[in-house]
Amino acid sequence: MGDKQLIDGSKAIAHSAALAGCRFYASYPIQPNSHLIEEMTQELAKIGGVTMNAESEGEAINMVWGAAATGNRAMCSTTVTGMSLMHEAMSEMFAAEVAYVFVHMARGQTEYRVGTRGGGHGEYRYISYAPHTVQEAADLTRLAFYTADKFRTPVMIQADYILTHTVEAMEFHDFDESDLKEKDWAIDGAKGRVPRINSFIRGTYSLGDKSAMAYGELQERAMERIAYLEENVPSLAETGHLDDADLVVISYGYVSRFAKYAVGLLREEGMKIGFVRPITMWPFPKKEVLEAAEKAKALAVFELNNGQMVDDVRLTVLGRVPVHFIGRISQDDSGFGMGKAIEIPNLTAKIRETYEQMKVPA
Amino acid sequence: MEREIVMGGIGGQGVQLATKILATALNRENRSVMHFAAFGGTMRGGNVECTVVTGTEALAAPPIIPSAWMVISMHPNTVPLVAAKARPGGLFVVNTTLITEPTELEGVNVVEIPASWIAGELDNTQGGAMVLLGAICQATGLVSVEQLVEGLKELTPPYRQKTIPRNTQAFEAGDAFAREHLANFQHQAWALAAA
Repeated sequence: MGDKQLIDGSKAIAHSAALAGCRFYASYPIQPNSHLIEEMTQELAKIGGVTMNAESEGEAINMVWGAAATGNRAMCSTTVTGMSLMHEAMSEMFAAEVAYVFVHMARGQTEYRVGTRGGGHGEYRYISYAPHTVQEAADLTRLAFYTADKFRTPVMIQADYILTHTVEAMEFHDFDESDLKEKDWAIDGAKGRVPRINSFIRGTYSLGDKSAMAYGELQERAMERIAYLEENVPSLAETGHLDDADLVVISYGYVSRFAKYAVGLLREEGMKIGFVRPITMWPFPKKEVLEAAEKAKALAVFELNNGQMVDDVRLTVLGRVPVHFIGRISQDDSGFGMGKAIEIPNLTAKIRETYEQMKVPA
Repeated sequence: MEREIVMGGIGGQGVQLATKILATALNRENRSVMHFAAFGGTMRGGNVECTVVTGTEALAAPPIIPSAWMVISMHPNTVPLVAAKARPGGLFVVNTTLITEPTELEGVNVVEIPASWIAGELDNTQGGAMVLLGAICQATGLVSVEQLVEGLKELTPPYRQKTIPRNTQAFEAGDAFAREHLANFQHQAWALAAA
């Protein structure tokens, strides 16, 4: 009998959330997110938690807000368009400093920008993790709940259709959370005390609630928090072959699995190509990308969008080396982000072309 | 080393279950393993393509692979689909009960198994994929037929327990076919790993 369990990405996230003590989860069906709803329903039932299949995306995220504000571990998830509908509440939840985990079950990678910078109002950033295997989906889910509580802030996991439907042998690991403090900010029903949660819509100073933070004050606090998070939340990345690489391919999430494989094939042909795989999309792993830029002649970013992570790579290397965008929109007939671009022959051809052009003397 | 298996068929032939059983059996033997299923919106009759990647070390292959060591077609509709992923020197296993046109691919070794017919003889027409899997696993040593049966037991939900004996029988019939027709099969799955 094998030592490992054979499960898919949704099950890995759901079971990890249950192991992390998630007590509340709400969502609204949309593929590939619906698969996670099924798994969460089963997992939270086992530990006495609550899963709500909401009437709308707005209802789902606002229920999660309520649950998280009481200090309970809570999770929300959706897919692509669903996230657009949730952004009003998501913006507020950052301002309100509510710790919760948000899983974006993507179709392709057109939400890198939204998944790191948000799509709502006010100053905010998400701590954002992008797993590329079932094992990593489980591990990063535990880390996400821990990080959310430690920094009292929303944390996002960028999963996707392929990860949801990939079954792999994996194991759940123990996770040490002994350094977490009690949530003295949680709402516990005490009448008459000073409010503990601030947000734009709670009744601002100008409306006469003298205990609420004014808009500007709230924004200044958000800016300080963003700077603090960027400085203190560990950024994570996997790197390969940076020692001798002339060209370094940068790719995140499930797509990076294809990119890593393509790099491996091209190295077998003797090409000096390396890779950097950001595991945290924000804070962006600047150290690893800079290390790549110091040694390589060029960087090539492969992502399934119009070049959204390219911005972060360019802002990191600041012109030290050329940064080529080699990705594209890649959808199959069902629109789930598989498509032609990740087919290995197409991907190796694209990287090979970039490598060979780089070799031609200017 | 890694071995990739791609199995194509149509909805209702049990391709998803068969490949999930294969993955479970490989996991039981402590191989690294990954399973990925691509299927259309049609529950019965739509094309299904399942990929299993297994290996002796951590896997490098992504879930969707360009070519495979073994491609299997259970139905004529999926012959072009899986043939495109066949690799020179690799195997192309065909269910000759339904795929009656001769299959030829340059440099690829074609293995013919009348899987649906054998299953039909057992009064278990739906068991063709199990027969084929039993046969090819016995022939190549990919995984033992005993572990396939254990995998079957692990994956069969409580309300389908009564199907276990007949699917076990299908695996065993495939095993018996291979012992008779594919004895001393040249293409051993783990020959390189053992050497």
